[in-house]
Amino acid sequence: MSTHPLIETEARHYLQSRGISIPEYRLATSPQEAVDHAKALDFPVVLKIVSREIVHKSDVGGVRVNLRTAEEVAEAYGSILSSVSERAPGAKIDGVLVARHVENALEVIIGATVDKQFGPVIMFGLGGIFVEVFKDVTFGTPPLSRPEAESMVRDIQGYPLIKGVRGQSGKNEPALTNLLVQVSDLMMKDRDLAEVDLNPVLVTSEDAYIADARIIITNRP
Amino acid sequence: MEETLEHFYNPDGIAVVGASQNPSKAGYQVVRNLTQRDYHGAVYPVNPGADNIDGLKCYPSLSSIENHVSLVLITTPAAQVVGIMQEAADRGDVKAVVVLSAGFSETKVPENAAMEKKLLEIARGAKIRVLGPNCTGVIDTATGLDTTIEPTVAQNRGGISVFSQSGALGASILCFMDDQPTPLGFNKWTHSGNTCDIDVLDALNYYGNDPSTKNILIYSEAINKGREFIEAAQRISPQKAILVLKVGRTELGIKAAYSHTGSLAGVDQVYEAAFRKVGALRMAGLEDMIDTAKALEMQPLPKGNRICILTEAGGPGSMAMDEIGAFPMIKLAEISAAGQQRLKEVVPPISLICQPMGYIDITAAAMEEHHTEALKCVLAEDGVDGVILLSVPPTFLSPESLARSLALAARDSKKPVLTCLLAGKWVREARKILEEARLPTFDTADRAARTMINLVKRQQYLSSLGGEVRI
Repeated sequence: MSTHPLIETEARHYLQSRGISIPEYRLATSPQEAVDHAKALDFPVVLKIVSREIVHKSDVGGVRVNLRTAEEVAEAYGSILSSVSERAPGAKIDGVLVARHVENALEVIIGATVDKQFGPVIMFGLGGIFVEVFKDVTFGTPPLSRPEAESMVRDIQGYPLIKGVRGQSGKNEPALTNLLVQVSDLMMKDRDLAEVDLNPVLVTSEDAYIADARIIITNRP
Repeated sequence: MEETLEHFYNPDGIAVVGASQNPSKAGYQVVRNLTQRDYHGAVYPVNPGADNIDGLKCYPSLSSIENHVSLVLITTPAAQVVGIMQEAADRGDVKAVVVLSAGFSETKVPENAAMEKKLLEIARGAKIRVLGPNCTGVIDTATGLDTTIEPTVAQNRGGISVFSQSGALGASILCFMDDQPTPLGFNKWTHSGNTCDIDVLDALNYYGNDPSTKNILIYSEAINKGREFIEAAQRISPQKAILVLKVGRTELGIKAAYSHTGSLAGVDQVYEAAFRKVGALRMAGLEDMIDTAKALEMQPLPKGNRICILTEAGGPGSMAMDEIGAFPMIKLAEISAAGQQRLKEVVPPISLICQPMGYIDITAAAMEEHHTEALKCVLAEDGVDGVILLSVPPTFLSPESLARSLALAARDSKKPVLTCLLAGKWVREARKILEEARLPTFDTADRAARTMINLVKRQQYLSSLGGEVRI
């Protein structure tokens, strides 16, 4: 069966419509609009390119983070568009997404896929080099109970980073566990989902925020 | 279609097609295993060229058997199997077929794989379940039924039932079990070979419902119906331990499994997650599997995770501690002040008591009564859920006598005691004495420790269910 990816705004909407909370975001189609959104959301913010033809946004200079003033936002908007037009010429651009920049966050990944033998499978790991180099991930098979989700979080090697090391405050583990259970429930309920990739999820001592979402849907014949 | 192995294990009439008088043929050994052991059911050899095989009347064809036949064993060359399956289907009374013959999908030759597909098609049409091809079938120690060609497998009775996709490993498991200081018995044994129909899920379901199966051992290269496996295992695991040896942990293992039976092993971490979900114990190898099965068969589960290591020698003690230390879920036992005082009174003065807590080295000065009194002492402690007892009996201490005393000291204990007497030939008889008293022995201290870890894992799974711990 064939599949198709949702663009980020669609993916966000998809999750939201199924009861998974997504930090507030807005779509801008001009520098001024981006600045207005940033003011409404409050600084600092992040800007991200939105285009069906661009999957890896960072690779084409399509992401800017920690923008603290109106000037920085306007400048970033321009530089994102020019960088994208240079590195992904001809890509149809839907706009630029504006969202709050989350500070003091730990990047984690929550992934879900459908295994040929076991059906839905959930993956959890720390973001960045932890997943790429150390393969520090845990797997679980839905439906995940809360204790199962808890042990998925606690069984990664890098768990002390979540728990808090060397005087750093711990991250909000229950919020993270909750998100894992929600994704597990989603995979059990919505059998059209081929893949969910929440990468990164930003975990602070307050909450867990989905900062980017990639979703792939199976096309029904 | 019946999702069961019932017709393989409790047949009403067995026909052996390809039965032979020639001792170098599989068809000879199969008839022999059915007639020379305890099996009392009807057996009908089929071979157009013989009147009589091993004292049994021989039939020219499957269709010429006038009595009821529910199980057919096929040992002919592969090319004849499809025709025989058709004959079995036409009879109308056949419910199960074991295809021992090789030369099907495992050869990777398309024509051979097509024959396998064809025979399965015929079987499905007639509601016949198939084991194999390229397999040896089943053994049941309770009835003496043995459809295999294995001449050497001992049939000691026990509560463990085995499923193996591989015949060699399946047989090795039985040989290892038989080779223990006191032979470890089994209940049922199923080998599925190419696994065209009956698979690990059927076996799991059957063993799960089988009252005489206490624990389940599985060797598998792939589990194709993963979700159903999870559901079945979730239902069975609270009552029976499921020990799984699953290859395909690395790319190379996956490739070998594929080349062996054409199984796509899948992502290992997903298996790992599934096994953990259902409380199945993943085995690192055959030793791990036999060790754990033996402990489950002979000892109660610990009620908690607090383990005491009682050793007569520092080296083996340290090895056991190293293993325990790698599993944060295990804690060393807390010995009360009164317990420590009592220990001090009954062990040699140079002993190291609770250094660290829960670790007791009674040293090579320890004589028989030091061993036994120390064991009784720690078993009586509330903070101890299980004991690993290690000793290298010194020259002037009789291992047999030590074993008898230890067996006595541990006899009424509701806590598991896993022992390791390390001295090769010198302790062979002593290990036999211990195991006859249902105190399992292990070749090395680290293996005893790994086995205790598996028991604790099992206990933790059961207590996570919130139900009562089986003891």
